[in-house]
Amino acid sequence: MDRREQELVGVGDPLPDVSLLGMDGGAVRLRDWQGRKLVMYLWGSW
Amino acid sequence: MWQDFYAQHQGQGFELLAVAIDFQGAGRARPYVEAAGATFANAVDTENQLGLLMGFTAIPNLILVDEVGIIRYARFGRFDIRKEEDWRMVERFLIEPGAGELERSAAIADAFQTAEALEQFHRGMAHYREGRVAEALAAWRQVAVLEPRNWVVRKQVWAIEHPERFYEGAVDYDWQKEQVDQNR
Repeated sequence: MDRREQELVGVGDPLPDVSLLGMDGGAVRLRDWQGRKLVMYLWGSW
Repeated sequence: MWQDFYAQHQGQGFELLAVAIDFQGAGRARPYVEAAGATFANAVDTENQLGLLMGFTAIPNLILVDEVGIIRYARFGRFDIRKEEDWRMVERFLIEPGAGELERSAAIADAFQTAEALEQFHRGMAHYREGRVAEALAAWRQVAVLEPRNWVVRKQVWAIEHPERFYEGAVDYDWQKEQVDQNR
C-alpha cells in the first residue's frame, strides 16, 4: 500500500481544519461548522 | 438544485457549504453562485487543499460530516443533487439522529500517488501564486502526464490555457473529450 493511503483523510476521520477563500475575500474555516451536521458539495466550473 | 434543497430543509440542524475547487480564485465561481441564487455558504479551494488531503481526482463530490466533526460519507465524482437518489441520501443523513445508515462511500482517492506528482503540483502552485503562469502550467502539465486522470489538475490547466472553452457560455465537453483523445 502506498504511503498516501495512510495519510489521506477519509470516512471516519475528523474533518480537517482547513481555511478556504470566501466569496468576499475573507477566510472560511471548516471548523466554524462544528456542532452541526455539515453537507459539503465540492464542484468546479470546469 | 442545491438552493431548492437548502430552502426545503433549512432549519433542520445542518449547514450546506459549497466549495469550488478552482486555482483561479473566486472570480470563476462567482457567476455560478450568483446564478444559483445561493443563500447557503460558498467558498473556494484555490490551492487544492481538499484534493491534497482527501486524494480525489474529480468532482462533483459530496462529503457528509456529523455534529462532532467526523466525516461519515464521501463520494468523489458523479454526485448530483438533481438526481432523486442523491437528494434522498442527503435527506436521510439530515433526518437520522446520528449519521444514520449511509450507503457505502464511493471515494476512490488516487491523486498524487507519487512524490514527483506531488512535487510538481506544489511547484506549479508556487509559480502560479507568484504570477508565473507559463511555469505553473508546465509543472501542472507534468502532473497530468504522470496522472492523466487527475482531472482536478488536468482540467485546471485546460481552463487557464483555453478560457474560451469554459467561460464563454457552457463548458465545452466535446472539446475536452477531444483533448483526452489527443492526449493533451
